[in-house]
Amino acid sequence: MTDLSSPGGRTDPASVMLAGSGPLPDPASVDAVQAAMGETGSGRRPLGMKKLGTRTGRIGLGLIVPVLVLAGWQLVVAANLFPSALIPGPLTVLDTAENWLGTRQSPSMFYTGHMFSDIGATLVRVLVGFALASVIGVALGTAIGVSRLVDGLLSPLLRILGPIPPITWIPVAIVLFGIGQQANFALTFVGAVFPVIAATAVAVSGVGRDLLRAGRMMGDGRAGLIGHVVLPSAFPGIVGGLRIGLGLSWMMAVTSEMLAVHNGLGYTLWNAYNYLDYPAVFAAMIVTGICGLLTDALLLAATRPATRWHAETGVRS
Amino acid sequence: MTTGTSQDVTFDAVGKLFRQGMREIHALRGCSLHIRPGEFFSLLGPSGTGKTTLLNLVAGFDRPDQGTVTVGGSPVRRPGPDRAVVFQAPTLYPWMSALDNVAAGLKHAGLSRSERRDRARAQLAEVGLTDAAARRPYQLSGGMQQRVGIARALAMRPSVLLMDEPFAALDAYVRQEVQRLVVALWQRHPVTTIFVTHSIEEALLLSTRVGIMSSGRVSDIYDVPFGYPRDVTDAEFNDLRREIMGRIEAGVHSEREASR
Repeated sequence: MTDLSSPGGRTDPASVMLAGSGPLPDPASVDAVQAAMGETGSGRRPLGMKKLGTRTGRIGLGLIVPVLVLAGWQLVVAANLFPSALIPGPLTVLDTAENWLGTRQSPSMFYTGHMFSDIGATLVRVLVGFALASVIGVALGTAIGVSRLVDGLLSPLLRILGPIPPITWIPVAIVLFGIGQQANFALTFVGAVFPVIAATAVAVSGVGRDLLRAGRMMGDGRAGLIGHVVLPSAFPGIVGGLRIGLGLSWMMAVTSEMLAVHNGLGYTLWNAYNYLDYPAVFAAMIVTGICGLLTDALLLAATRPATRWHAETGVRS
Repeated sequence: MTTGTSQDVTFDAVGKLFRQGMREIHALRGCSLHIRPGEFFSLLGPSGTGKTTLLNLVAGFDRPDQGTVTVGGSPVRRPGPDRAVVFQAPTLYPWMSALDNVAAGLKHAGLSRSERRDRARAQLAEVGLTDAAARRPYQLSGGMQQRVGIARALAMRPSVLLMDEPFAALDAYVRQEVQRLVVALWQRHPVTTIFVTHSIEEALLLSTRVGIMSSGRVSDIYDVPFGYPRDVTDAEFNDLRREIMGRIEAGVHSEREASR
């Protein structure tokens, strides 16, 4: 890649090639070409899959397997294959969830009515750590993807740090930051940052040479190419890394709350376990999963305008 | 009409070497050529004779190992919007509409956003794609994508237009249409055009002069004295085609002999 070249002000209004451009060179033939080509690309779906295109169709399809799992779970519990005190059924868990939510006040438990404050506490830890990991991970991943030098300098260290389970950073975070929000942010950050770096570096290094040449031909220098060509082109791959990172942030937030702090979904889960309140343990797990699903859906919705071109050229188009 | 901006292109004893592992490939050696301002010059020859290398040196994607490449008297240092390229594959930004793709080439032209869009819209109209302005590249056929690529290049008001086998992947019918379009556009805006192709017929249909490449240099140059539109069934057209074909075959033959 080269430095920014200055294109200069070559544009002389009088020399505008098109000024009042007349009829097309050969309108009839142009129409003929378009007719011969027909409608391409959009709106092409496999036969019999039309219903999946609608939002309700997709949600309905997505509910089938979870409903079957819940029904199976209820059947297993109803058949008394396991002691019901240890493995509660989904209906028992639902009762507990209502208690946690506050719509059912008895019996009064330590978590009664605390669901939203628990979700909120965990969500803040997830979002702060994930946001930091996104910014730093995309920046580092881009630098590694475009530069052999940065790749050579950083990748060995990252490949050593990557396989270390994020939870093993919990003692380190507590030593460095003490027990408190900073330690939690550090942990959700550590959980998310490695997959974001890895996915970004792979996506960025895979941007095609011809697309970069097109950008250089249009006058972009190194910074312009990264902004105008590399990042938009790599974005669908980067989003893949962000989604994995977001999930790992949830894991790290809940796990660290089980050990180190006194609120949040993980704290309630671990405390319930200590009280042998297994329905609450399951309720906390399921609520964590649903929260993860919702934040993932938000991330997908927010990034969709910039990834649609990629999704629509994939195997499922 | 806009010849004021067209520039000449000069290759002076240009050499270019590529290394593939231990092998050295002389893509160009001692290649000299002068392309006049505003002419339509086709580079013709079999694969591996340096046509695309020559084009990439003008575009600034590569640098010569020996000799100089100058456009309008000044040496080429890097790519830039004064030398627009129409690539072999359309090479549009897939995340942008056709209109934004054409406007993207004007980012550094010192125009306002609305001026860029106006010029892009007018340029799309000139290649016959007014209705496709809002569509993304993957929603367009190959021929339409390549026409967007031509619109993007022309909208930049280049002093040299470089086209690297732009129609090689199109079927014969669509190919004829875009060839006709390119001639019409060049007649209306005679910008210096260097067109790489391995089709003799295409070179003779489009160009004012044809250069034949053989082992890294331009071995022969033919004037194409016919007016437009040209008729591929015309006797003189076919005489010239036969002569050029014979010359290319002789070149291939002597190269085989030399490497034996």
